[in-house]
Amino acid sequence: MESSTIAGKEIYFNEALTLMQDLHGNITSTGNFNYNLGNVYFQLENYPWALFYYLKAREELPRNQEVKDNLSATLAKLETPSPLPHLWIPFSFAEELILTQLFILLALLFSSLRIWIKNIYYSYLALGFTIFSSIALLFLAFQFYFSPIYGVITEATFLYKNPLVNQERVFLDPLPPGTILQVIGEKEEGKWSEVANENGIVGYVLTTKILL
Amino acid sequence: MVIQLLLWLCIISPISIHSAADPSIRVFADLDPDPIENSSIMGTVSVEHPYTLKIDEKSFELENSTLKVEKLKDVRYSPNDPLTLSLYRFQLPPMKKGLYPLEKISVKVGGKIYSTTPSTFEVKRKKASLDASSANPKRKKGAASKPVLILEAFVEPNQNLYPGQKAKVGYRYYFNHSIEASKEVLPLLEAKGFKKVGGKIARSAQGEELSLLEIAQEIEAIAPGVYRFGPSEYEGNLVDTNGDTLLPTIMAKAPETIITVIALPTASTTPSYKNAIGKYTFETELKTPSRVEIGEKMSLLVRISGTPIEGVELPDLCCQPGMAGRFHFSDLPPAGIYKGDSEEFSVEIRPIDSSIKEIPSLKFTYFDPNQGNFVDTYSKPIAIKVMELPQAKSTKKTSDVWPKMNLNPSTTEIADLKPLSIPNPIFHFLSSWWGLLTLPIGAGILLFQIRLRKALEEYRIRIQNKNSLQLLKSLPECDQNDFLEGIRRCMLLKLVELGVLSEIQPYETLHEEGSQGKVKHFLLAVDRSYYTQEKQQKEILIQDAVKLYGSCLKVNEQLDLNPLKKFPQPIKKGWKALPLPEKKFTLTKP
Repeated sequence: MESSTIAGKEIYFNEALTLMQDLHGNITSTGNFNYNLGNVYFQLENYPWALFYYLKAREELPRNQEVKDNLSATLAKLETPSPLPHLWIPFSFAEELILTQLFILLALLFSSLRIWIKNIYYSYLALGFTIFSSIALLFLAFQFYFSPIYGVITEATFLYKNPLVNQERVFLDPLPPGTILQVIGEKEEGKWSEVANENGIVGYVLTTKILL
Repeated sequence: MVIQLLLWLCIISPISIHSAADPSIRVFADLDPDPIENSSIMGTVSVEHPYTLKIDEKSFELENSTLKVEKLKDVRYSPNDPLTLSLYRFQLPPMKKGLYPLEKISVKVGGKIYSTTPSTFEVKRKKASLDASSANPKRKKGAASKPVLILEAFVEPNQNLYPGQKAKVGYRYYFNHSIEASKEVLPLLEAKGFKKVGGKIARSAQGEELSLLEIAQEIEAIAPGVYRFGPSEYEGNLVDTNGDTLLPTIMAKAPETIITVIALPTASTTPSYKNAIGKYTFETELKTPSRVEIGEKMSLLVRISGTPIEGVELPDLCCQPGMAGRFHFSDLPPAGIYKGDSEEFSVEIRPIDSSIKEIPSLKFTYFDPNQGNFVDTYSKPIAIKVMELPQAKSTKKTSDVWPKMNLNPSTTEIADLKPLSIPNPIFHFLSSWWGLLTLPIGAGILLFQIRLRKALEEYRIRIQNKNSLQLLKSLPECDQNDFLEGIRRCMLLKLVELGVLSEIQPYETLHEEGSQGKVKHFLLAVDRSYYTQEKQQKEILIQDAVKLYGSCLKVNEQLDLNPLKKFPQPIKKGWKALPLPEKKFTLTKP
């Protein structure tokens, strides 16, 4: 990445992107990996794709300030930036899983101690951690099944009232690239995605135009 | 009578009804218009019928005699309509002129006979191709004149043409009697090798003595060459005033006509020449003010006058001297408007420079066939004034508007890349759904611990609730593991019961003398034999234990170690133990 010209930099970033896309299929995506992908797309001035990968990185690194800063920079580059989905919990799903297992292990530990040593405090601790782990498990299940899915529009496309191209459009103007929409469902075996914008207006877009 | 009438109605009527004609079937007959005498008369029979009912083509009859027909076609009205129209052609023999009836033509359709309605038709006399029936009033009545027929071929304007040039060719007939043609050889009207423009035009005129009939055809020369037509010939029969054909025949001939198409001179590729062959004038006229600003639209009228004007195109003006690089032309070519012998074009131009002072003289080239060469004609120049556009208020320099291209990339506003690493496998496992396997595994471990604890408690309870004698009696029932523990506990508990010990303690801590020493040595021997190869049988050990137990206490009852019997009474309080013999205890060998 030591090129001194814009053209050279573009060539190198495209090569980097190719390498990273090859790696993407072989290794488990991590927050850093998605962050780096976002950076590469940003350098290539493909801001919708950069936004998509920064959002993925934010899911895995929710407290990372660099991810937040880069997201802000990307939104500033987009013509009509959409509001970011709110992060209710400052933990990634992996961290929540680990926390849940920690509660489970502590509950097991104190329960085991309680079995062998008759101590009231062990009983309270075992019960407490059992309750925490149950709540954490329920929350994980709820988050996994009911948390909203968001997508990023990569190409300008219209929002249709029905899943047909010649149908009436919801808005006269197309949705600009970089628009963040909540994905509600799909139609026609995944060809169309049912989406809603930040105002709750529902419509349909072609699945090829949105990154999930 | 009435009965007979009723019988007729009941019996005959149904049959009559049954044999009634189908109203959907109809038959029509038509003759071709204007039948001519002494010529076959053609006609058509149309039969409208359901397609399921067949027509018997051999059943056609006219005046009770068979009429030979030839089938043309069947036409179904629509796929949903069963009705079909069948067409047949028939021929009547030649007849003299007059009015004749056309009797009904019958045909069998679906086994039933249907007929046309009778009609009449007129056979007319054949009209003379050359008709001199309108007499010239100047001609003396009753004067007999010798029949005259003259055939003349003509090519106008001349017989030397150039490619693209048009000419009129044809024949003129001069005659003084009506003539019915019997033979015509008129190759000039076909004009092979030329392009026909429009159809044949006939013109007739009456002279003092002769009548004139002119048939002309406009043609256009295509390729250079010599074209020969003829000789031409016309032969016919005189026709009297009554319309009867007379003999003899009369004939006229025209000599061979030669048309030469001359190739154009080679200098025909100038942009100012556009296939204009004739004689023309070329003019231009400015229709908008002559004072304009740079880029303002100007309308230039270009007028080409001459003959022939049809097909004349506007020459290329954009590349003529004084126009190229100075005026911008509209992308749409102007359409020509014909006004008499002129064709006008409205050309849009825009001056692109303030130094332009005039619309220059424009050139138009045409080919004059009379001279046989190309002629250049020029329009007059038109003075114009082109003014500069008003200066823009902005004083931006070009360098500001078009800054120098910065090839060096600027610093980016995003943070740098993060290093990638292989994730910790434990962390990777725990951060996945597989990590939740700790839940069932941990639950299993807990369950196991609970069961284990319960089992140990039961065992402890089982051991703790017995006195030494009960323990001794239960020794035969113990398994290998519990037996060792049981025998130890039994002996030690005995010492506790005897008051020698305050509580059960490890036998290693017992004294060497006295009852404690005996018990200690016994238990040492038991352990030694238990963990060495010299394993004693359980019964022998029990016997030894019983002996030692008995030597610790003076009891009168027989110890019965049968586990099925009840336990003996417990030791009563107050009994004191007799002193033990000094001899060390040794296990009985098998």
